[in-house]
Amino acid sequence: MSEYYILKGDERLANAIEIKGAKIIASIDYVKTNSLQFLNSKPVMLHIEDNGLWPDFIEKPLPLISNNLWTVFEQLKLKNIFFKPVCFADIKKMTSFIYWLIIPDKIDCLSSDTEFNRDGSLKTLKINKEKVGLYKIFKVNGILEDLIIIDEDIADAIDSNMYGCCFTKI
Amino acid sequence: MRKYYTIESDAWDENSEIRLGAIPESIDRRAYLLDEWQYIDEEEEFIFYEKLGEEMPDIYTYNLPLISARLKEILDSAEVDNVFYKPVYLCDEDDEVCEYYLMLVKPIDCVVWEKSEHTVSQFSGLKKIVGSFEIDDRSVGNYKIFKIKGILNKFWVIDEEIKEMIEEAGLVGIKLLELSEYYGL
Repeated sequence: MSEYYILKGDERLANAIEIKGAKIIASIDYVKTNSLQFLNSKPVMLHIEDNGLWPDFIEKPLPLISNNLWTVFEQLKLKNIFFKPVCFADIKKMTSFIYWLIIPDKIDCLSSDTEFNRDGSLKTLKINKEKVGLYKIFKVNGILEDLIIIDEDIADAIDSNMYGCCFTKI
Repeated sequence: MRKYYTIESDAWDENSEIRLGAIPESIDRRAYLLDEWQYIDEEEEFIFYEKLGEEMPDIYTYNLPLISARLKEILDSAEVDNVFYKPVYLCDEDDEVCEYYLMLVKPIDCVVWEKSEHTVSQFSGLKKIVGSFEIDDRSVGNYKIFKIKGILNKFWVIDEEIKEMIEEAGLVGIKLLELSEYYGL
């Protein structure tokens, strides 16, 4: 059975792109709760300041992947993800970069061995691998945190080619 | 307020009646019975069938949720993207092959239960809609077709745009009902 990892943005690059007005892309609540019926996949444009740092995965305020990483996902034929194209543009520098909002399906795969803190936050995440089925990327129902989980195929593809992505083994 | 309609097989339309053979084990029932899409892939499947009427139905919602290629075309042209399709070819003893798709539709929690005729299964605790019912339009969002979360019924719900496209195309074997007219069998 595959190993699974939590996909995280590199915290050292947390300020690489300052996204003001993320609401234009999508409501954070709808993204967290996978309320896809309230979202659309039409492209949006956002003006930002180009600092020259463009990580392949941005975790906050919304999960966004670069066009490079989107190409990898396309090659892996991942069908259980909602994608919405986002164009970041710096008018002064005349630069623009394509990113994609990603919302993978949320599934009931939480293991009963998962440990929680008193406030309900996650202490140790455990996945029931049998319930993951064929999915290579997904979110987990039944936890407060909005985590994106990937399998080792995706982790391998990201590890060797992508910038600014971290993963924690589950 | 948008209008919605239930869509399912028309059990009284003998003209488009078919009988399906055994469902391959490679189609995991959890995928369509429990809406657990992680258990299904996009590989093509072949299922034997027996044609009992004159025409092939454009929808089949009994033991497997299938739609015809014609109905899929309509959903594609309406830019429906909240569904999963798995190609299923129906073959009869004369080697006639018909193109169908196993269709899984995103379920949402949108029924106003206080205003809906329903029963609750003592065995599973799941609800079954048995008569007219209401949907909270605010919960539906952009969806043009959806399934109701956590019920035993096998119908889907469509909006007026899809309903009109189906009627204009003259698809067969389909029972379309306004929510106020619905009756559970």
